[in-house]
Amino acid sequence: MLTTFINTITKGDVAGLQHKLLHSTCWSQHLHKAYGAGQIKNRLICLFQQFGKCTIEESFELKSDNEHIICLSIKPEKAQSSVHYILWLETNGQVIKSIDAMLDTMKLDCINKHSKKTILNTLPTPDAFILHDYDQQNHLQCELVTPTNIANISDKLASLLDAWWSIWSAAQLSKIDSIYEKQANIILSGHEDAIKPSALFEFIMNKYAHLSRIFCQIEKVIVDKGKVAVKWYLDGDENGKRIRVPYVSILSFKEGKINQDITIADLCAHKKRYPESDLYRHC
Amino acid sequence: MTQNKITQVYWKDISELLAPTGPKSQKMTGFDEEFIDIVDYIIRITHRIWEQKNIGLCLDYYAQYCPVHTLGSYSDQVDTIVTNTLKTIGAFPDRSLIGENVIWRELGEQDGYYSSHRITSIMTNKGPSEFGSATGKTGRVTTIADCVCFENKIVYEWLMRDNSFLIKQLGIELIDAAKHFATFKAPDEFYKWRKNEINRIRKQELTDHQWHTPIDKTMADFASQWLDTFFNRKDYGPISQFYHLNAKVQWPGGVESVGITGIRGVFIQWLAQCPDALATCDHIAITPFEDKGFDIAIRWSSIGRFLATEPLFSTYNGQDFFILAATHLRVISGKIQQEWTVFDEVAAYANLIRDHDIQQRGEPC
Repeated sequence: MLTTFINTITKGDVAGLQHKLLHSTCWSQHLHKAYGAGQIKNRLICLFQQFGKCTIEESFELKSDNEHIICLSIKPEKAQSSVHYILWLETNGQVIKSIDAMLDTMKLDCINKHSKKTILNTLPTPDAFILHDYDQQNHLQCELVTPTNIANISDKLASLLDAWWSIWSAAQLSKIDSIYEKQANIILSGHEDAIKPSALFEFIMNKYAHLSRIFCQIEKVIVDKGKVAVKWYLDGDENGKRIRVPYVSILSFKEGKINQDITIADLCAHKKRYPESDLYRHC
Repeated sequence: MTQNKITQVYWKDISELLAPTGPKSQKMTGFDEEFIDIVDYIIRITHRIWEQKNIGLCLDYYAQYCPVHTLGSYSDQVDTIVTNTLKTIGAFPDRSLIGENVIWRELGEQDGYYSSHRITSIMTNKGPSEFGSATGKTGRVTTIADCVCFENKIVYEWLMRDNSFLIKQLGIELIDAAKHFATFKAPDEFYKWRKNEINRIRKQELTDHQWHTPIDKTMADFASQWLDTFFNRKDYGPISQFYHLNAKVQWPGGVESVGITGIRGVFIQWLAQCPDALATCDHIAITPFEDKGFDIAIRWSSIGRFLATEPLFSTYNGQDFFILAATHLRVISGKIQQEWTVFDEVAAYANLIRDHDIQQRGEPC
């Protein structure tokens, strides 16, 4: 699968990928689900438009049963740096049932030196979406997901992962210093360059200050080859309106600490879904 | 389990589904020899009629008299099915029907098979439709078609389509789509059927369409309790007894949620617009999902007094708010991992408008 996607993105090999897709394959990206040959071809054309001629700087994959995660660092030919693109596949190894892709569009926009308007214009209209309001409090009902209660994780990694999740889900910012290596490499959407743990502290604190009734929800956790991928959502009220930002995080570890954290959200698609949102205005 | 030999669509491409190579895995009495099981029948006839545009095949695959219930209308003649199919394809000429799942049940030698077919359609609105003038926009919609199939023909159908999600993609407001839809007169049989259904649901009675072929009792009880707990008792504490902590649901109009707290919100917010609603479980079908769990198809109906949560619809407060719905549940390790609930909100609101207009004119409902 990795080679297929690399060939598609760098060489424009559409047929190689289409050969692995079903009539019912869903490709979700930019907050829009594409189905059927026509829409999926449009998705590829959009990708070619966004990256242009490009090379893969770094790639790796995580696999677990029918889940397959591909992480690519892609450098457009004329850009100075690369951008992360994470594809979360549901596959049986032969064909792909679904692709849930997360592209760091804000960084891509930045390194392509295009105006935000330009990249916004390449994005599809996000799907109609209603986030019904809910009580974000737990009320001692033990219904909140942590990485360890939906995935098989070794004891050693379990406490580290739950501590990582508490940073986002409970603003337990003090954990940052204890679970990240001092020189950890943190790739976070909204930042042009990798940041250090202290900047992560600022970023999360700002989100908690900006939104009220924050609630974080995990959808999937995959552990493979010493890395962990987490698909999750950040919900909160912004000026009284409940909003949702889907995220994907891939964590790598060294000597019991996180030494790399790639946390990506599609911030341009977010802006297209919520034009009034200022959540990432400082990014 | 013989059910495991029946066609499973999940990992199969359409080319494979259209050319089955295995032996016949169900009796299929009275069906054309080419069909190996009920899933194969549904997938292939849908493809032939809709994607290959052989609309005339409706005459072969539907009974001459075939009641079709939707939330907005009723028909029972195959000619009407041909006409409606043609009109829909005229308005949405590139409509594709992607079969996501077929959950089925054997009804016995005298009754055939029940199928609940979940479909994702992609379609571009190039002609006038039941929602208004052509918009030129492409939309996606989820449909669940529940059919009784007997001797190679569909003899009864309940059709649920998530039209409120579709119209949003076409750039049409729900109130405008509902008002436009309300201008189309439904046949008298529709009003009779709806009145009877409303009375039946209020009395919590079963539908006339009951079959007694065996189904998995544990899963059937689970499905009945799901409906009773959340729609009739309005008890949302036990959500985590029914759903996994990271379960995902899709409801009409673009409602999506992941996780217990969000799913609780979906039920509460929807039922807040008809807080005295009662529901009945009208049919359950259960099939294995690979070797991982079960897929359950529930057809259900509900009635309550409408209480607008949006001021635009407050004119209709206190009127009957009737829903004909279908839900597909994917149950893994005894709990729901994914849910698709489909009903036509446009038709539901159009019915409020129609009833209001009838009352204004002083005509009997």
